[in-house]
Amino acid sequence: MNPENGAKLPTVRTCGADRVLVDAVRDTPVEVALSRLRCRILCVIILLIVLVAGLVVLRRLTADKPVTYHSDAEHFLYGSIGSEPGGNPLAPVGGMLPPYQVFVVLPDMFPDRLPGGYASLGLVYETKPDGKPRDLPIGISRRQRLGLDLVGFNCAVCHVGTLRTSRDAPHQFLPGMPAHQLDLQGLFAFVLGSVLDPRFTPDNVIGHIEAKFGPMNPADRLLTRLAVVPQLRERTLLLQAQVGVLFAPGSLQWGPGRVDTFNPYKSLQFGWNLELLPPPELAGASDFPSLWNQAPREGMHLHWDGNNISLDERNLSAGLGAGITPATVDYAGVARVKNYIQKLPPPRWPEAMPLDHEAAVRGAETFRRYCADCHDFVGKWTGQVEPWEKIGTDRGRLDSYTAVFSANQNTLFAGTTNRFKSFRKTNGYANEPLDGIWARAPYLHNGSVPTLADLLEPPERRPKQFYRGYDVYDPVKVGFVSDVGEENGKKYFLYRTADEQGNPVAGNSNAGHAGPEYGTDLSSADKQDLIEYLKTL
Amino acid sequence: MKGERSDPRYWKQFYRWFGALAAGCSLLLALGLSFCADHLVRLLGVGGEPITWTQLCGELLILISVFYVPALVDVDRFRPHAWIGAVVSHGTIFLLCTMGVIGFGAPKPFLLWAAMEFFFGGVQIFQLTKLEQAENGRTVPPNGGWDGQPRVPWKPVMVVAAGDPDGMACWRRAYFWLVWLGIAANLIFVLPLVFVPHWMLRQLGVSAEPVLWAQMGGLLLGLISVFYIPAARDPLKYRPFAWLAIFPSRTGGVLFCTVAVVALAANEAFILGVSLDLPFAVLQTFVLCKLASVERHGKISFWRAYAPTGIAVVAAAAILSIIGWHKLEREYPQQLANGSIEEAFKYGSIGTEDAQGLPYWLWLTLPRVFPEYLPRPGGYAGLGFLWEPGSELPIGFSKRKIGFDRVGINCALCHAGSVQIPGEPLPRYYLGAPAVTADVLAYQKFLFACANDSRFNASTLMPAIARQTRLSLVDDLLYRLVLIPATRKALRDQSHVWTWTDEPGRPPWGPGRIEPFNPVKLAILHQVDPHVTVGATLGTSDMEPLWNLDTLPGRAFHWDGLNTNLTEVVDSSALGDGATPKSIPRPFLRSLQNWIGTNAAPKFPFADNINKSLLAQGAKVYQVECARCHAPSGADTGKVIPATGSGSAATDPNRAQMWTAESAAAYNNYLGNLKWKFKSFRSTDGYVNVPLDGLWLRAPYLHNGSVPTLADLLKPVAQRPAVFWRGINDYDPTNVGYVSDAPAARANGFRYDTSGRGNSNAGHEFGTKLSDPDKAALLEYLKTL
Repeated sequence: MNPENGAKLPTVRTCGADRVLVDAVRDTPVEVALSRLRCRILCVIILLIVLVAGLVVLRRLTADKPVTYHSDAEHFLYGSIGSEPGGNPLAPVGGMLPPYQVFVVLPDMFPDRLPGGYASLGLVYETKPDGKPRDLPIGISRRQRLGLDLVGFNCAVCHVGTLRTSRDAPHQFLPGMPAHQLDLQGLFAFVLGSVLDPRFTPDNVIGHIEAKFGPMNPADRLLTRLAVVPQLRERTLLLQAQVGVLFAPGSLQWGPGRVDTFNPYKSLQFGWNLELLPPPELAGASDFPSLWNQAPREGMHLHWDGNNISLDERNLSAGLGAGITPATVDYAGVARVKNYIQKLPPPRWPEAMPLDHEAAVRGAETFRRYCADCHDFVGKWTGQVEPWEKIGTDRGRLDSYTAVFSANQNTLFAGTTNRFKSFRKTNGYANEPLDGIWARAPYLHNGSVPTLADLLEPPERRPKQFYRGYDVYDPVKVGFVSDVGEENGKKYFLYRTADEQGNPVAGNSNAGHAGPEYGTDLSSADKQDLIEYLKTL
Repeated sequence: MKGERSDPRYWKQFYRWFGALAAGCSLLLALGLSFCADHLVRLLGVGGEPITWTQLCGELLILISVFYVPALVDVDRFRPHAWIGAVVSHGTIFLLCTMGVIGFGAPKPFLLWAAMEFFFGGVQIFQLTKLEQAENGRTVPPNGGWDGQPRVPWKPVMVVAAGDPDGMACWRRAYFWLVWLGIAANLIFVLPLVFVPHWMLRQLGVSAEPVLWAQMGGLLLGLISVFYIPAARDPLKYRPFAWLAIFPSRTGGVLFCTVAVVALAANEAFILGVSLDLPFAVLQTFVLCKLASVERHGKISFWRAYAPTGIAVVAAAAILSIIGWHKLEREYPQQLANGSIEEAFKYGSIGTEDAQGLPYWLWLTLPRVFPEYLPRPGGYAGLGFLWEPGSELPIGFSKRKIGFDRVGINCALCHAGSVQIPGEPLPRYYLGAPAVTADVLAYQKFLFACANDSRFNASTLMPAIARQTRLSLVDDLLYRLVLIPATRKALRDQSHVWTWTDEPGRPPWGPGRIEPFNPVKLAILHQVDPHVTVGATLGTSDMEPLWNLDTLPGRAFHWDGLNTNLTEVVDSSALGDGATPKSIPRPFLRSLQNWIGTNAAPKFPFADNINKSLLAQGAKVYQVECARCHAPSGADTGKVIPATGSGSAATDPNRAQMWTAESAAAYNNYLGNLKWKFKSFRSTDGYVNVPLDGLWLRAPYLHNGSVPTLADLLKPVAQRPAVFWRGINDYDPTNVGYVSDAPAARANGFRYDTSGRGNSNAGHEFGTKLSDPDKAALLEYLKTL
């Protein structure tokens, strides 16, 4: 408040003293210049802060960081193949599961819909060294994308199975083994139904997340309330519309260890309305196959119906089933899985279970005479497609893969060198090598025969119904114990080849792979020896 | 001499010569990186993928070398630039190279560059420091040389000189803000490229291997931005730099990016460089010219004041046109799997992409976004188009890049047929045969329905495309701003020309049938002669086979024989498919014509089904009953016979009545004075007696496909099926034709009702009165044609 030189400031007489009127005082030019400079500097600083903050937010929203694992084995179990939702935060693509924190708290939010948690669906939780279970089961990967921690499926969810050598033995899991215990249909139904449940509100979600993970920071809370929950509901509605028909009452129950490989694919990748497809095309549920020892399989007809001879295309196609899209796939992650499964050896028959070595040697001869041509690695017909008229197994899987669908697959991964070129419609099922066959129960493409002993019986004598999902092994008949309906409160799935009225269930027939050349007419001694030999593969 | 070291002139000389050396070395390296990038990187054993980043670094380094020069010439006037060059430029390049190699594993040869910069920068810093020391400690020399003015500390604030003419301040201010805006725009690229290169490269959609090249590019751009700063403050004092900032700096960036993308097939993301530099180049030119003009109190020639801006604007327009041409119009040769004529027939372009090609990613995703507009699930394969295993497109579609990838149709869409032999997993394809399963109208209607749906916009379609591929930023903008709106408008406009197909009383075409000339009337001929319209005419007919078309001289083509010149027929078919007179590839069409002229008809594949003992008798019956009109040597083969009246086959007359004399005249006038204009179009009142080669594959029969099998054709009209199903390719070898009434046919086929207008199966009762044995023998013989 420097008065200009010589100027007399207007004053006002008040009780006591003369007071100067403030608004009569003017700033000097220096002060003006200084304050303008200060303003400018302040503006620049604010601009810089906004810019940096904007860049940080942008960086977070567009970051794409998977959780990485050092060993290929751990990457197979938990690593990401890019199946998490990705792309643009405003318009995410791909993925089938909710974000990480939501996924983890869903069973807590809806205990009535899934009393045993994810483990009751057959998902496997390893325990950490400190004795607590890991936060995510085998087969669920975690990745930071779209500014959030997201989860997705990887190959291990369907290709890691559990096994108990006896009722009291601990559960062991074998990488590459079909996940015969996994109820994938149940998992989808739970996740889709929970997100669409009226109790799935932002408050409820945030409450449960905070209870499990501790307080959320305000930004995350706002993001969850305004973006995550509404967007998730919308995307789930869309998913429900696309594949809901496969879970509707009256549709073919997959049961644990099975999936309808191509029908969800038709809807999710190509937008087909599954309700318009003829019913014979919709009964394609088949067992998960094993994933070990892939290197010798290059050039063989892959998939149950032998529709592709390229391992790379088969891997990417299976990845599409897990939720990747051509735009969000993590090629490095997929390559690492490929590396691992090329060399993964098949599991050996466990020492704890009985094996008669002399019988196995006798059984090798039977195998050579009856089975080797189609099932030995160097067999004449191994890896070739066996026409359906000859093999006679259920047609559902074959009919679910149509020529029109195959033609559409040629457009997947368009614009890249990975564009699918090798898918073909076939007229039968492929002969697979039998490495690790003991661990690939139940048998036939649709898992309709529980044990090898049953497979060597003619179809009339095979079980008409049995339980799937129980992982205690039967070392005599070679397959999982299939007559236990319930244990420790957990119910197992009743697989039926025919319903109560005796009508065959479409897709579940256990006929086929029967007759003299398939060994069903052998003597029981020969069959026993053959089974002992098969345990050693 | 002792006194020398304290004489600023000594240090200036030293700086000048050394600086020239430094600038020269930089320039050499820069030229090497720009023009011999692959040799240089191979020599040094460094990768450079894509090479564009190395070339970009070279180009930026050239500019920096140029920026070094004025400071060498007059180190007093351009002191700030001398310091910037020594400390900021050499210093940061040195830092980035060493940190890149040591910290981030970049290849070792970058250390050579670091060493060079360290050397030059270090020496120059030394020289400048000594120079300043010498100046500060020096008294005025007897022979002048140094202006003796006290050094004013330098601030990045705009100078407002006391002696400025009126109006100068606002232009100075404009220039100041413009340059700083340009620097900020540069920084948007510089900072992320240098500090978070992997993230930035992912956003741009381009890769860089090793990533140090991208970081270096960002750094060099940042250094250039620093060189802009002194001139922002006082463009008149640093006038050379003000002009250098535009030319060659900004213009160099524009030129490099344009040349790289247009001529050197660099990643499209580099077009962003043009969008960055071009506006600033033009605006800065304008402002500098105004400054100069005001400086001289407006006493400056018109040309000196405005010519540079004019040139800049014209150059900018040229660059934008070049880029526009590159993204929208530039033609690339089509690359097919092999050079065979069959491959070209299936997938080769007949010039329809130019005017009617769909952008590839839209073509691909439309069936996934709007599956409800397709008659059944299955995408384009569900419309009955043939799809070879492993092929990117169905047969009959061609993909060609004209600026961007487009999909058009070609002859094979309607002229490639299929037969499913029982027991074989896949149908057999016959090129040239009528496409009996293809529902072409359903395809058209699908596209129109999509375009008329309000969801046909970027916010629905871009996410669908994002599921299939990661479009680069430039392509994303191209689709969003140009291609989606343009396609929507084009399809909507076209759909108005096709509303006649929905008129009541017009049965649907169904698979295997097409209205070949009514669309031509509306799309092409109406503009030549407004009297030519569809009106009530109806010309739906079966697709015809393309074999042996040149073996019968003088024959008339198309069901009603409206042209006798095969060349004109081929050319007009391409025009009918959507080619334009400019885009039609006539030489290619001639080679196709050559092929279909002599391509033999496929033989009946069910050899076991032919009863050979009846063939001789059948041949005799054929000679008596059919040969005159249908045998290659027949007197009337290939000629038009009236549709109605005596001597006619009395088949449905609609097709013959569709093509009028006005239409023919209009088509003959359509091409104006082109050398290849049409001359032979005519209107007939009847139908051609077609040769019967490959008769088994021409099912269903009669021009409107109203009789499913030959056995039915040999029955009197009352006994022919009134309703049957067509469009599936299961074959019935006994009756000779496609299966038309089995459960599979009913489930998957198209219901053909002969009572519909134009669908009558009356007429051609030739041979219906033969005895049964004769008919049987004739049928066996007909299988062998």
